[in-house]
Amino acid sequence: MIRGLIELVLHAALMLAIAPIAGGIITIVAARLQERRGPHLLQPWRDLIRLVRKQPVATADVSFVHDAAPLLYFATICTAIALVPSFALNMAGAPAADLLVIAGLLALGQASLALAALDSGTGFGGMAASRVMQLAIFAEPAMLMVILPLGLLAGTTNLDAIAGFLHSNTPHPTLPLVLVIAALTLIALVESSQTSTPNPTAHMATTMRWQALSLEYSGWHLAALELGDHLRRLLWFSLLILILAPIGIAGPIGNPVIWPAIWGIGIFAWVGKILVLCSCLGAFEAFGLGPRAARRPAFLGGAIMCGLLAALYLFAGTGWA
Amino acid sequence: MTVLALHLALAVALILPVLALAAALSAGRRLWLPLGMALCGAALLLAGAIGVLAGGPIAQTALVLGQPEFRAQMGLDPLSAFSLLPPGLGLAAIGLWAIAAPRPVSGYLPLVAAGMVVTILAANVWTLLFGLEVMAVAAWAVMATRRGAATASRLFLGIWLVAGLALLVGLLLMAPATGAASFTAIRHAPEVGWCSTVGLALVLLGGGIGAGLAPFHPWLPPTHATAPTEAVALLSAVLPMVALYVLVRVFFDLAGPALSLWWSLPLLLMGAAGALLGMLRANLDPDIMSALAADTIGHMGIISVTLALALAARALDLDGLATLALSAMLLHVLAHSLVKLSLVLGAGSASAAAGSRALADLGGLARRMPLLTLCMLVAAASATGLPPAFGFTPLWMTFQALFGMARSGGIILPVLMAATILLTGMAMALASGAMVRLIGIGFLGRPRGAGAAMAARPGPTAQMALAGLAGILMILGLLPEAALALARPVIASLPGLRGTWRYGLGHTGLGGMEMPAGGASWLPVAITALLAAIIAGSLWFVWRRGRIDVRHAPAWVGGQITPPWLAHGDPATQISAASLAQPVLTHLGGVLLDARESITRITPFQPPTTAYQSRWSDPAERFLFTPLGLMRVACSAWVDRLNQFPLRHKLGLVLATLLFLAGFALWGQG
Repeated sequence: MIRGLIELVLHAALMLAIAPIAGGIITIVAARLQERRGPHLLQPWRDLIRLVRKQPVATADVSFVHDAAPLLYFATICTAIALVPSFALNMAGAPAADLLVIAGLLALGQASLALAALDSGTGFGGMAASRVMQLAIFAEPAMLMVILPLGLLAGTTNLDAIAGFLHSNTPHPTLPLVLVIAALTLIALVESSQTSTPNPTAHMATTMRWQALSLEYSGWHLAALELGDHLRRLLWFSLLILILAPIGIAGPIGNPVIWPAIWGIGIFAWVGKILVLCSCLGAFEAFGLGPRAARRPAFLGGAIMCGLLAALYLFAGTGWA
Repeated sequence: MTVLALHLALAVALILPVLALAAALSAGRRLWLPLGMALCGAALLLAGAIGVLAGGPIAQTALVLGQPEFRAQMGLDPLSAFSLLPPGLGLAAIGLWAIAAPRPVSGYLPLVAAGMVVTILAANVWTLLFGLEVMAVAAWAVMATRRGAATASRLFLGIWLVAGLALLVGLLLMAPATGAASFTAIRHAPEVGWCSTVGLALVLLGGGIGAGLAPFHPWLPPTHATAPTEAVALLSAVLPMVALYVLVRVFFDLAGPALSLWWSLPLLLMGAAGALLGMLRANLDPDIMSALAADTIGHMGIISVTLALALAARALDLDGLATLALSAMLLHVLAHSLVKLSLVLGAGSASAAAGSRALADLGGLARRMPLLTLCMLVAAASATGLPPAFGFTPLWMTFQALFGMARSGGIILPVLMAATILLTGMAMALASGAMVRLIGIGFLGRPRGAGAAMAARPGPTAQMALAGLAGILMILGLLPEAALALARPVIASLPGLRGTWRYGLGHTGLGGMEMPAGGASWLPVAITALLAAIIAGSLWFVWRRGRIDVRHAPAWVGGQITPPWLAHGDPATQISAASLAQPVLTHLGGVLLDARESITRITPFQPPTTAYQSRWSDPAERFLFTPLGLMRVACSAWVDRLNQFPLRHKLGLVLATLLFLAGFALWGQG
């Protein structure tokens, strides 16, 4: 119990600190691959601090939704990311770490942002809200199609238990897992390309989809949204890492003396994996390979197909654990 | 205790018609009518709660009404007691809301509620049918007096007559050949063979029509669009639940515990199709009430999926799974009633204040009625099944049951489950889109019409009713265990189910539904507390370290100059309800709704407007309701022709009929 609490606090602090830096890494990698210098690694943090100090400006006709939505968005992402294990299993939040809860929290954040965009009463906000809600029709089934094979394999929708199952030595079939990882990668690509990372090569119209949601925001409202974006991308990375390569993650070992050592290894491994993923995404962004707005439903459709195939494979073969 | 609850409910069922009669005799604004309805609702809630928690066997009573063969029989068991909760909630909320309603409530409304109560308390086929038809005729009377509601109310009446006929014939076919058509007789001597099969199919048809399941749903949106708000609240939040009660009563109780697995298939298909179609339509309907009706269709679809799961699990003897699915259904019923009551009453207040039910005329109401908007948001979060809200619990349980059934082995059932998971997930995403559109266009942003710009705040009792509903939703969201305490005795009372398991948001074994001890019911509280702590912490941080005060400035509308007579800017600079749903229509509407879109662009020779137009039609309307309507017209034309026959032809017809009947009788003798 004590260990779980310490791990949860460490995890939360780590996530909050790393999330904007991960954004910085992506930008730097993308810039270097385009033979540019790129901003400082800590630039996202500096931006956030600057934003908090500035006074927010809002449209004259907004209601309480405008003020509440960024906070709710930030809070849902924070709660969701507190449930996704990073360097250790069996954290204090493990019983609540249900994949359906996590997906639901993300959807709640998304819906509150769409409402806020409609509340601002501008055309761009409305268009952004419309596209976000449209993408959700494919994103939510895609997520469910990832949860289904994992649930079939591990016998639960609890993320911690699934990770424990994948981490353990129990024999499990490879092909469905590969398909699940492919599906999750596609979803993560779509979801993480929704952030407002500055991409100098992108056209205004293509970045409008996500940025228009926060178009009417400034000051701490915008800071909450941007930090939420960073955290959301990190959440998808963590989720991908947890299924793809749960190597080095701290399992249930009882002796308190070696806790720091296990955590050290876990954090080291996790940061390394995050670095690799950030570099990949940076390369994707640099060469314009990320899913553009019009292609995103197709990406998610691919994810649905992969997840469905994995489930069908599991149905056909009776040999799952 | 159960007897006490039964008599309380019976008293309500008798007082309600008296209220209706008194309303018919008096005229003008009658405060005692809504007050009486609210009190009756509270009494029903009390009766329901006592009946569920007492959990005893069926209490029965026979009223000295009607012929000996068709005597009214009433009974109460936990299932019917639970089903009294939606009408109780509905009456209480509508009564409280209507005290300050802009126009007096219809005097037929208590009669509708009385019909519902009689239907639920009925212990034989005749009483059930009597209750259903009283309800249908009274609801028709509520609607028919409204201007522009003639077609919709006729459709409603016709639909419910067909549903009643199907239920009557179906139940009588299931009843034993000798003896009265009481539920006890049906239960104890289940007829086997084709009679029972046809009977169950007819019950499925009648119940499906009433509950608005997939191909039979098109009656809901037009009736909702034209009925007065208080009737819409009953139609949307309570009426489908009564039809659902009939389905559950027949399929889980009267048909016996040994029902074949295949009966779950039509329910599953109807449910999944209804969920997708309903939620899709909820994104597209231009009218706030018909969008809410479409949302009801979607939710009834999901409820029907859980019903199918429970039937299948019971047939496969997976007791834990059946229990889980049934509790998901019961909680969904409770959540849907609460949610739909708040949404309909809130939307009714708002549209009455703004003078229009079209989403295109609303907007900007959140600033004028913040409490009402907040209550609507709480209800909408529950309707979309998002985590800390109450609606998440039944949805989570539904998905757990689907996953569990997918693990049950075989190949056909798991593949069906995978498809259902896909469709249900899509439906829920569409549901959140629909709620975003409903609240975002209807209540947020700038006013789109003059009425919305001058809308007055609804009266205090209306706000109280809505706040009460939102409060119940929030409490149940935090403590789903409380709602489950009401569901448990119901499940335990159904035959063929043992109903023993633990529920929690935690580590759930999918197949066996075994959960670790230690109770996980604090998890919603924990998640809500975490959310609140993060929000409070960030606010504190900004307050200490940054600038928290917000400056307000006019909206940037792309540099357009706003005409001085538009106080809140040009409404056309905001997105419209149709445009918001356009991507959804493009992606799903083409296949499902036969959607056609067209854009008139600016050309030098045409008036300088760009117009977006879209048309779509429900497949159930196209392939079922329209042909049926045409058939009805053809039939009446044929009957007309019959009427104009000369006398000798008519006499010939009579003779032919007599001969046919004589032959039939002879065949029966031989």
